Amino acid sequence: MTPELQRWLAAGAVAAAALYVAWRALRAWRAARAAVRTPGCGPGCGCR
Amino acid sequence: MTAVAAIPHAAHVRAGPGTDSLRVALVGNPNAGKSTLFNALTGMRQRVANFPGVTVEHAEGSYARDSAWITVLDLPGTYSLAAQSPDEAVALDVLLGRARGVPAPDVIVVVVDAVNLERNLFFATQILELGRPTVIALNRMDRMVAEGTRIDVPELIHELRTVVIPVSATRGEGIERLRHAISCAPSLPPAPARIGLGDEMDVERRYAWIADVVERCVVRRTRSARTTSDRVDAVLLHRVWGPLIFLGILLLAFQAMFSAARPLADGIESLVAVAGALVTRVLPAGDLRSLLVDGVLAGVGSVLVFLPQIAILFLLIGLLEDSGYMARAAFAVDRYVRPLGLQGRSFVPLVSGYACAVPGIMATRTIQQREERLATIMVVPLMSCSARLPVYALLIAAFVPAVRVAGVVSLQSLTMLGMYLLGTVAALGMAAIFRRTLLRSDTRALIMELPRYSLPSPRVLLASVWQRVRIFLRRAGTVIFAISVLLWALARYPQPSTPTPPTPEAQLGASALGRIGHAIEPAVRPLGYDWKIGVSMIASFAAREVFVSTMGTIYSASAEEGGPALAQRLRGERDSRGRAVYTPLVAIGLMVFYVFALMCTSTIAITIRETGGGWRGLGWAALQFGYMLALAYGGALLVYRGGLALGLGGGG
Amino acid sequence: MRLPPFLKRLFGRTPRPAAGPSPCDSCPLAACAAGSRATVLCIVCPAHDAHRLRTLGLFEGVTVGVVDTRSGLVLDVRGSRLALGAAIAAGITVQPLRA
Repeated sequence: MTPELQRWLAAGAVAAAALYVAWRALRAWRAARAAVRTPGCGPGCGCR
Repeated sequence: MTAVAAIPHAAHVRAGPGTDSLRVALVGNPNAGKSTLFNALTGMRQRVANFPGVTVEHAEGSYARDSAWITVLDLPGTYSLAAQSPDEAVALDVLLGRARGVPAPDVIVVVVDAVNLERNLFFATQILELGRPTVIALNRMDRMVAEGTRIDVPELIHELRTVVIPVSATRGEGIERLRHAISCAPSLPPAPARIGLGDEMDVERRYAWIADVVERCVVRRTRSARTTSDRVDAVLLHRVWGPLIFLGILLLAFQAMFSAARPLADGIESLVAVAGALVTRVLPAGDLRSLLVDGVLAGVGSVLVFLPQIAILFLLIGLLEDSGYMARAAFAVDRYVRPLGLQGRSFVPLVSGYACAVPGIMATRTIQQREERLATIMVVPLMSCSARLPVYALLIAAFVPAVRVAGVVSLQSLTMLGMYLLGTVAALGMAAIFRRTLLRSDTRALIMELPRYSLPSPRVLLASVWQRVRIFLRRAGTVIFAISVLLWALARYPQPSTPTPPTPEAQLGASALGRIGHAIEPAVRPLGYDWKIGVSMIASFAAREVFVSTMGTIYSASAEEGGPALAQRLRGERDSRGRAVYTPLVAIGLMVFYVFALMCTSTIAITIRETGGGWRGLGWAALQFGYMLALAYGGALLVYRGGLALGLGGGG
Repeated sequence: MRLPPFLKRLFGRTPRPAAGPSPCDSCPLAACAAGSRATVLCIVCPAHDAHRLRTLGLFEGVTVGVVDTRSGLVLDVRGSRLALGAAIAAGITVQPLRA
């Protein structure tokens, strides 16, 4: 395996990882926003 | 996000052997043996899921029978249809089909503890009056037989006018008959909606009716007033010995985490090393090989090493909970936490916080009083969770000598216990502050049932440990893996343009990561940290374990290939003037930082939801994050500066 | 189970009252000795606590066993063990039964 090929493969892996982390961050952000929007359970109120 | 919050909600219907599917809800009093029965019914085919909209962790499992796919929901334990805590409210909403997005169950299985028949029948008769297809599982029959008590099941069926199946969930007896009854239940004519008890809330009439039924159905040989459980409690509920024994149990647990996990951890470490050697042999030097060895294996591998300790931690916490000891601990500490404005009940979520703050915060749903519950939520993340374990374990293994104190316990496990105690004391202290300032109210009296002691079923324990291990492995394989790859790239590029190949250390300094690190170094310098620790700390705001994987990646980038294990590298690290970077003082300050800091997006999300959602929830979460960060920075600063002032700064 | 004296002092219970007619018609539950039985006469506590107690099978007219009195109370209510904080135990008036 040539260093050139290795570099390309590594770059691909890094790009995929970056995409994955960005996607997870987006999902976390959306979940947080959804949590902020839904009226949650008032603690101890017995309802939802 | 941890997997608890990350599991998609929608996958209720799964492709099964046939087209039919049946939804079954397991309900019953707390401690009736619901979870054990759930495990016996569904085996290992289960997962932790959330109800849409509300975050209540519940187990959902399934099994196939006669070309039908049976889905079983394990609902939170409930004492009556008049819900008092948020936890019970959710169980009832699901049961009655009032919960958004969750269809009402087709069959209700009421788990009734035969040993505690009167109290359990109270709830069971309320459920029967709903007029839904219902099966009663009469659990713990083996124990009844052992005590010489006989229950006349046909008579009970006659009185309750519904199917009653005697089972023993721990031994797996009667499970097949229960499955059969579940499958038949929807096609049976509905039971008469009324047993004839009039108002659902007429407690006295209901109990009188039940006492009458029990009188006719149960033949007791002896009625010993003082059971074995009581004799054990005579010791464990002692006002002095009780809490001391609890501490002793915790200490034993930490000792076990270190000694029992060691061989397994060593095994994983050598597996990682073998994998590294293999990659090195197969691939010629280059970027991909460096990515695999220095990035993935160094990063993910250094976290994976702590898998055995985490498994043991969950095993021990499961053991405490399932044996019935946790309720005793809550009762034993009640009088001590009451002056702080908490009741013993708050103690259970706090102890679950040792495993993970997310279920801990959700467990506060059993607290009925709003201010008490909020105060508990605010301090649960101070309890050292399993994600901190790799950080503590790495630093302790590297900097605390493995000597034994008094020839019994190792100094390492004592240090570990110290970190857990520090978090616990801080949690109690902060709770007291919250209860005296923002969240003032009367503290409710303690009313709780003490379940009988029982030997936890190995199946249930293993199932819960396996679930947590799977979550950990998934994190290691996804988020931690991806962050390790990214950090590898940041640590390797851009490369300095020198004519000769640069030393690894110089290359790391010139890389993007090195530049970021040097930029933030002033912020962590007062704590005695260098830029490498600073970068790892920043990265670990994604998830605490990332601290360890980042250190693994950074140190493997700065060393020649195939160097020693991470802990040894840390010990050997020297700054530009040749002094050790990690003195024990720095290591302890760092651990203190991790004791206090809230670095977990799932905890933040769950706090927002559980404190009321919306801007109010966001406010509470922001307050929680802020005060914990302040505590962390202040604590680490105090340890380092105070230690230096006391002349403890000498290189270790 | 026989304990050596020093262990008895550490772990032992307060001795039962002597058998015989009960010394009083009514007394606070918290004053009952471990091992005795008593019938609940009256429960004075906040409504939500009273509701909880009723759900768990503890209300006026019920006979309970006193299991442990060292810190808070542990009661035998219909065969289950119920732990009560000291504050709530003080609000429950009972009629002790003959031991």
